[in-house]
Amino acid sequence: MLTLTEAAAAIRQHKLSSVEVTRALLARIERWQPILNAFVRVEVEEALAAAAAADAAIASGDVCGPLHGVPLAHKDMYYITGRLAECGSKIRSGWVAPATSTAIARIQDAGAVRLGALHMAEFAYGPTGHNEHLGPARNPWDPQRITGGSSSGSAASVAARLTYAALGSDTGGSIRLPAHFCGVTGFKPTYSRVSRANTMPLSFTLDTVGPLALSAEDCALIGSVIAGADPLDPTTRGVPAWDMAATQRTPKGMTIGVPRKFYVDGLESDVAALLDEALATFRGLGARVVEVDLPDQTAISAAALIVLAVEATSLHAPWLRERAGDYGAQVRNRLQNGLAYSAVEYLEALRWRGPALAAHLAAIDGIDVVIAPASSAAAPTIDETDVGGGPGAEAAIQAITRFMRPINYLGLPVLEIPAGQSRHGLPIGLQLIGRPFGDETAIALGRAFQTATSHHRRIPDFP
Amino acid sequence: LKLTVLATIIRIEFGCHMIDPTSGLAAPHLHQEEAVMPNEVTPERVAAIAAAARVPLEQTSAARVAKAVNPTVTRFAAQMIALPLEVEPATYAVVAGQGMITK
Repeated sequence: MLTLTEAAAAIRQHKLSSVEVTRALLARIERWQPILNAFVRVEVEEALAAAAAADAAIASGDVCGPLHGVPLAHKDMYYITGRLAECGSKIRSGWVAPATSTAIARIQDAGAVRLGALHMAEFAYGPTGHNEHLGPARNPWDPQRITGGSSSGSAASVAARLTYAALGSDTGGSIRLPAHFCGVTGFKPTYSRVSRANTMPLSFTLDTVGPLALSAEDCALIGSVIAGADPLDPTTRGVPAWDMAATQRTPKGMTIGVPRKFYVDGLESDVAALLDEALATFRGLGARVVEVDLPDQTAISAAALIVLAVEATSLHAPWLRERAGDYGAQVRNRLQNGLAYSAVEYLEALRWRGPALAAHLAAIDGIDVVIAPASSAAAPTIDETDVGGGPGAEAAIQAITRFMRPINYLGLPVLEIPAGQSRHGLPIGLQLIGRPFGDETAIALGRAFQTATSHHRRIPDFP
Repeated sequence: LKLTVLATIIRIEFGCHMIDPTSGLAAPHLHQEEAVMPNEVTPERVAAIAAAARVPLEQTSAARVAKAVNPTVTRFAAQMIALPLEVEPATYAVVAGQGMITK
C-alpha cells in the first residue's frame, strides 16, 4: 500500500491514474465502513468525477499541485461552501457551510480529490471516539477498542488505508491521541501555523489544524500545503513560511530531551519499553539524548482545562440556552462545566500562558525536541470507556488526555509517531514535541525514525 | 506596546518583580493570604455564574459541575499565580516568536 507521497508521485508520473487509486480506496471503504464507522458521508460519484478530471488534466500536461489526483477525506468540521458540515452533532445536522475552510481550499488547490467526510466526536469535544448520535468509531486493530478522539474517523480511516491522509484538529489531543491508538502518524502544528478559518472552533486559543497520515514525510507534504499566513485568521499573521528542506534534516547534532517526571509516571511496561527502544534508535541515528526537568505540568494542565472549558462554553452558550437537550449527555455536561470558572480565573489562565511558555523554553534550553508517550497505555475497549455523562466522566476524560493538554496550552508542535505495539498487538505512539515553530524539526526527527523502523508501515488485517 | 511587552518579559526573565524568574509564580510570603481565599467551587457559585450567563442549570447539575471542576480550580489556585501588571494574553505570541530560535 502506497503512502500519500508515493501515490502523488505515481499519479504525477502516469504510473497510476487518479481513477484507479480512487476506485481502490472506495472498494476498501465499502468493505471496512460497516466495521469501523469511520465515514459519515462517502461521495462516490463526485470523487470518481473529480478523479477523472484530474487524469484528464495530467494527460494535457496540467498538474495543479503536489496533491494532484490524490483522494483524501477529512473530519466533518471543515467547511466547504454549499456542503454539509455536521460536526458530529444533532444540532448541526443538515447544516450547510457558507464558506470554505482555508486548509481545505489549499488542499483542493493542490489538486486533491475528495472522498467524503469523516466521523468525529460531537463538536470535537471528546477524546475517545464515542458519539451518542453517530455511534462509536472503531479501531481497525481491534474493533472492540476505541479509536481515540476527537479525530476518530481520521485515524481509523488512515490506519485501515481508506484514505492516504486526513485532516484532524487538536485542541486537547484530538490528533495525537487517535494517532497513538490507531497506529498512524499525526502532526499537530504550532498554534497559529495553520489557518483555522472556516473550520469549526472549539477553543480559539488552543485549536490547531493538522493531518493524520501514514508517515512523517506525508505530514510534511500536507504541512507544506496548508501552513502559512491567511488574512482570514489573524493569528497566522507573520508566521514563518514552511521549510520543506528542514523536514529532511538529519538527527546528527540534534538534542532530544526526556522528561524526568510526569510524562514517564505510571506508564505500562510495554509503553516504557518502547520509549527506551525509541531512544536507542535516536541515539543510533546520531542524536544526543538528555534528561530534562520540565516545569510542573499539572499546573499547566489545569490552566489548559480552564481555557478550553470556558471558551467552548462561550461558543456554545446560545445553544446551551435554547437546545441543551440536543447535545449528547457527555458533551452537554462538559459544556456546563465551563460555567463554573470565574472571569478572573479564565483571564489569569490566559495571561499565564506567556510566562509558562517562557519557563518551558528555559527548561529546554539547547534541546530541539522533547520526547514523551502519548498515553500510559494502548487503546482501551469501547465498553470500559463508555462513561457518557456519568459522575466519573470528567475524571476519566482527564486521565486519557493527561499527556496532551499541557502541549496545547503551550502551543507547541508535535509529531506523533507509531513506536511499536503492546503485548496485545495494539499500536503505541510517542510524541516528538518541538519548540515553537519548530514543526519541521519534529517532523525531521520522525522521518529519520521511520527510515530506521517499520512500525508506521504495519497494516491491520481485515477482521 | 511592543516595547512594553518585551520589557515585561525581560523583567520576568531577570526576576525584577516579586516573581519567580521563569514561571511567573508569586513569592512564598503571599501564601499567608491563602487562608482567607476560598478555592472550593460550590454549587451556589456554579448556579450564580450560570444565571449570569443566562444558561438554565438544574440544582443537581450545579452540584455535579462543582464536583467535576473542583480538582482543576483547586490545582490552579494552588499555583498562586501573581503576574506583573503588564502581562496580557498576547504576551504569549511574543514569547512564542522568541522561542522559535533553537540554540
